[in-house]
Amino acid sequence: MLPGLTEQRLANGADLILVSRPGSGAFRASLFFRQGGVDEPPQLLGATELLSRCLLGAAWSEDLKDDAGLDALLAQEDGLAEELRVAQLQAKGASPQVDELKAAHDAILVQLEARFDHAAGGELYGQSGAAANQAVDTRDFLAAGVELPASAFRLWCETETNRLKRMELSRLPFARLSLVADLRSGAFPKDPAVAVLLGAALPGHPYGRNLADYSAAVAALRRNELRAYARRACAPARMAIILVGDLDAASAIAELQKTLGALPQGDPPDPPVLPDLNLALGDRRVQIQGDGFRLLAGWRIPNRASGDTPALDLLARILGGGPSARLTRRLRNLASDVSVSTGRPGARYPNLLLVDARPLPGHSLQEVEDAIESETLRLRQEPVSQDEWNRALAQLDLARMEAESDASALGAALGTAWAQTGSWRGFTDEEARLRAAGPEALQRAAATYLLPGHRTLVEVVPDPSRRLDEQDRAFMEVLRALAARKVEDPAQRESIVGEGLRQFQLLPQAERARTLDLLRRQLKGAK
Amino acid sequence: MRTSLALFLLPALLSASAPAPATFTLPNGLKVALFEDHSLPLLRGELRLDLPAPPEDNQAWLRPLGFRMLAEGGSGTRNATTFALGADAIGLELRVALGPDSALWSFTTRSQDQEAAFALLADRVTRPAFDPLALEPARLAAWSELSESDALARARLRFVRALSALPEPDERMLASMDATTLAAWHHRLFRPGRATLALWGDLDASQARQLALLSFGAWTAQGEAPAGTAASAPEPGPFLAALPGEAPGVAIGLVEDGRDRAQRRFLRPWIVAQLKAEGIVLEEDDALSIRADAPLGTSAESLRARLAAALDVLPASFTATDLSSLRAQAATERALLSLHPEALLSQIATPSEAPADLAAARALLDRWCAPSNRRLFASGDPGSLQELRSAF
Repeated sequence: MLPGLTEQRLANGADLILVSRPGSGAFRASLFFRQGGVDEPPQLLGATELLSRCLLGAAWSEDLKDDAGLDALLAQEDGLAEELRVAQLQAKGASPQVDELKAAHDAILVQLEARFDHAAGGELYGQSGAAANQAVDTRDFLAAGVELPASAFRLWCETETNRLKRMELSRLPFARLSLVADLRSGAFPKDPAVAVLLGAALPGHPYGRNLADYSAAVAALRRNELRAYARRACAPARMAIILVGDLDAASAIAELQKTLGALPQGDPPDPPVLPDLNLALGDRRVQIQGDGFRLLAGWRIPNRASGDTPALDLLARILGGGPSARLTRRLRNLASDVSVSTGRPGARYPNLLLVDARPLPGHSLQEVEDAIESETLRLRQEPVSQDEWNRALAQLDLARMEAESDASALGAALGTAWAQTGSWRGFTDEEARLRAAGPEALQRAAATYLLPGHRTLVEVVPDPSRRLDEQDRAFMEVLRALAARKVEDPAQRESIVGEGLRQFQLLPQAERARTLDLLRRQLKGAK
Repeated sequence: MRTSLALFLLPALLSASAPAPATFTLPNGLKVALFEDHSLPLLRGELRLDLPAPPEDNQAWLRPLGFRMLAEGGSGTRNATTFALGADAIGLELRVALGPDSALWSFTTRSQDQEAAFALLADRVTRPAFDPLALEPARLAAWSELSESDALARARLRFVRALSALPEPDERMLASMDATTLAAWHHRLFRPGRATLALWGDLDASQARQLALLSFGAWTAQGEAPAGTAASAPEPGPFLAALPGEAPGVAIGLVEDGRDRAQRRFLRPWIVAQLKAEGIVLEEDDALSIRADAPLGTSAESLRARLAAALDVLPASFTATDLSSLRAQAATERALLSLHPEALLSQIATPSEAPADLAAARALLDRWCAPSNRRLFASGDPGSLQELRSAF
């Protein structure tokens, strides 16, 4: 048990986890919703990312009050955005109708933006001395947190209650535009090589889905659909309120019962229907082109609630935790940027233990792969020494205490454990479970999961002759979207796109333009 | 204009301001600040070493290399491998960050390992072993960075170095460097009177004093302190990377010579907000450097002119209201510091300080934004850089 921790389920089903730290004069407040990208139904892909951009985080007064004028503008924008989207799909190039709709849409956006007071503190928390006001979306959960002086607790309760009750999503037009732009420009996801690995290692599972393949679906999301989804996704039964700081439990609970605890229970969405993922799917290997040589090796491992997860986390430390870790030492003269992690891309469901390394000049991907395989083989065949066990436990113990000492890190750790395992106790219990299991649990876990049959390898190789221009990027986007309709396996899709691009780049300029036009028409025809 | 709610909350914020540390100084001049907190068997620490302003240090060019050797080498009686093993055994990760005016080591350790952690830190800072075998790869790495074939990386590196007022070493300077030179450089620069140790966690003042004395008490200043002017001046630029077929990108950075760092931290949020309103963003690094990009075909000179115009008007735009708002903002930030032990320590190691008044703030902005203090970086198609090149 953590000192100062109070746990309570509020009347509407929301969980409260409060760690009282008297005397600090401030608190960190977070809301976690056990509803992430993994839970999105196919027609609402990108909804979690959009909600993190326009429901949570910055508290705009426009989201907190009745404003019929704003509602009308938002409805008008939504209608125009949809008309424009359809017109763009139907037009064969530039068209007067598209231009006209675009001008009208831009004008509405200007009107909307004029209603937000960015300069003089239209954002409520900013006016109240807040810091670190952020919203995040992950495959496993949606969350938001902010730090405030203790005197602002009531303000926080009322603000969050108000915006969850209203679900105005007044910044949706801007959030949608920026997300679609990020997806189309390749700025999201941030690491395409990891996206390919996830797709290849977890085929058919939402963890393996790459949102960049669905930018058209995101553009088609309408405000009413998203609001309806948000009401269910953020229902109290899927919510945890995590508070750390200078708050008295009794008075905080009394305030919460009047505010967030009084939100209607709502109707949480049905759990997603997920494929039964076979962890021993077989050794898979994908080659893609990127900035430089890089090797990613991922092993399918069970979810965080599994009894083997703490051992796998510790194995990751033994391989990559610090300069004297096995893989770090083994790869010292072979590779740079070596990292070993678990829980990729989430941990509510089976996920990956990931080793990532870039070969140093003069060394090959094969050498790095051999070194990684040799170290995993050792873990499977030999017991971990007492020294290594103690060292890894010391690191784990220290990491837990570091998180515990910092209000934000503690809030994040408790919320993540709650979202991934159903209880905050995952944060403290895993180390105790591991100590009880002893070092032999590590070899057992390695022999069960770090097998070639659980592994997927992504080799990133550079192609210095390839420089992507705007036409190349457009071609890749269209081809990806077309391939996404016919080929489920993202690794196979990526291979098709890579080969297609290679051939596209060999074409004369005029042919390239014609080919791109043809593909665009195919894409529109298929919609 | 709306009145900020923060002004109403200010009394509450000030009453809940961050805790003050207990402070003392060791006989050798090392300053120690302690935030006592016994809620966890944990200790966090930061050791800051103040560095002379680069123009006043004739070996400033050696810093990037010297600190890299320090971070990777052995210390005291340990070689690099045994040092890493010793640190890993207690989960200790000694991170070092080198800035224009200071170097900062930070660490976290369990209370039960605090003596071992202090011994490792003290070894690393006060008794480094410069391994001649590690020197050659480091020298080669430094040289290959400078003679990098990638035009963009080379221009970028030189630009970043120029913003810290660090001169570029030439081949001769790099060749002259050996373990003895590095040891002498270390003796001159690393002096207890320049160091501050900030601690947070599970120890009281007498334990902190004992620990600091045991680990750092024998550290004495050796040799002469750095003096004189730099052996060579930092490059003035412009730093250009010709990339055929690429769209232009231009950055203007303001040289940070190690002075007024605390005021820079204080004014930075205002500078960010002011430039953001002009559609210009600060690059994501410690230096004050602003950037603009444009599609292929745009002249880089037009981007430079836009950035320069934004900097030209910056000092005069700062008002007394801005100063008050920043002070209020600093007070609110201080009130939240106690949520984060690391932030409490940073406040000691990297303090922020308000300029005395509006005139002082404007004078600082004037000096930072002066055309002579600007360095220019640009990349893009040679055609788009042409005009820029001829302007210089």
